[in-house]
Amino acid sequence: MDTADNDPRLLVDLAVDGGLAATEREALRARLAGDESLCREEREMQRLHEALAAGRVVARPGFTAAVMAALPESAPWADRKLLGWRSVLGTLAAVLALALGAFGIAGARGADGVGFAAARAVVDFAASAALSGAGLLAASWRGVGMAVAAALDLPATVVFGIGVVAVNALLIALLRRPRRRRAALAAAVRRRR
Amino acid sequence: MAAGSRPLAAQAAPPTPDEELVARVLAGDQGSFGTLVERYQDRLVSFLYRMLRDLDTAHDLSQEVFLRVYQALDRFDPQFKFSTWTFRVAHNLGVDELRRRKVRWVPLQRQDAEDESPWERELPSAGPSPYQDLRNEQRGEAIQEAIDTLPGDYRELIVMRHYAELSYEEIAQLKRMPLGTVKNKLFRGRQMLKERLAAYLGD
Repeated sequence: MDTADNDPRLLVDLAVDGGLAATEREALRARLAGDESLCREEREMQRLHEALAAGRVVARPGFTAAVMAALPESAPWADRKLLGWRSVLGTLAAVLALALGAFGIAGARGADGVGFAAARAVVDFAASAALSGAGLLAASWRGVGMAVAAALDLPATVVFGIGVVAVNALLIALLRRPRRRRAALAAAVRRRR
Repeated sequence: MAAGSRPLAAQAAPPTPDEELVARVLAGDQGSFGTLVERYQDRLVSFLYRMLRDLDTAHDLSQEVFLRVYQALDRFDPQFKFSTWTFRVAHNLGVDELRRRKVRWVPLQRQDAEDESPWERELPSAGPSPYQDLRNEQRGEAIQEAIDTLPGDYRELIVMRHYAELSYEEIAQLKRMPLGTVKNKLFRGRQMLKERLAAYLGD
């Protein structure tokens, strides 16, 4: 333990700073009654607190209004939600609309089969993009898996499988996190009440 | 021991807990954030002013702190206190600002290449001093100097306790220090201040 723990001035310091319970304050009061040096310590410490407090500054008038005016109009967390499933659904809807649009244009021109071919081309394009993305991701993870497998002397397929499951679990945990925090916040508010 | 009570600030209990105000803001009541701003603005400005010694920058950074806190409000973890979280953001911004200044700062005196005589570099004023309104300006300056010359970790804790008005528990959480260490360091820091300011604090 620190030597300061045995210093009676520490108790005086805590008392002046409001860090002692009522019973401890009473005990200290009795001790101060017979000790002039501790009484002087208490007076000096009180003056120090007052001197430090005199150096505080306050925010300028209108500061709160300036902060509130600078806040974004829409809540940022509401915007973040849109980046979840809604954006995926939106992308799918856009691809579908593009395909249907191409189909409609071809139909209006009266060219049989062209509209269908155009829509199919759009779908094929989206599928190719998704496949190449997934392929790249898988290749990079497979590379990591092979390196780990070589280090652990395990079959690469097993390590790759474990890696995929772990990454998916991590993603699910991250997606669930804000909801869990909000539930914990609501629980904290209920507890305070 | 009731360590960490806040005798320095007004003792009136806050009408609504911070966590409840945060929950209200998340539920769409933006006005509740104004209550949080009012609650913390003076302590934040005071804290950043002590760190940076520039009132304008302290105000600008305080506004930045509130904006950052608002933008990340849905990520607020209720296992920590709102005050601790806010002051951690403020502390990080203050440290960044100090680092930025360190890079830009130039010595006040240097040897001129031609005549090798020292010359003074003129610096812009840091703005109005908060001590201008105090009767004892000399004492204010002595306190400032005494705080500035404290060892870094003691100075930081003194500023957190006396200007940010954080409780011992909040400081312990913010600095990731045991509560006993916070108490001891504050005690030692105040003892050093008391010795350096003996001329102003004596009977």
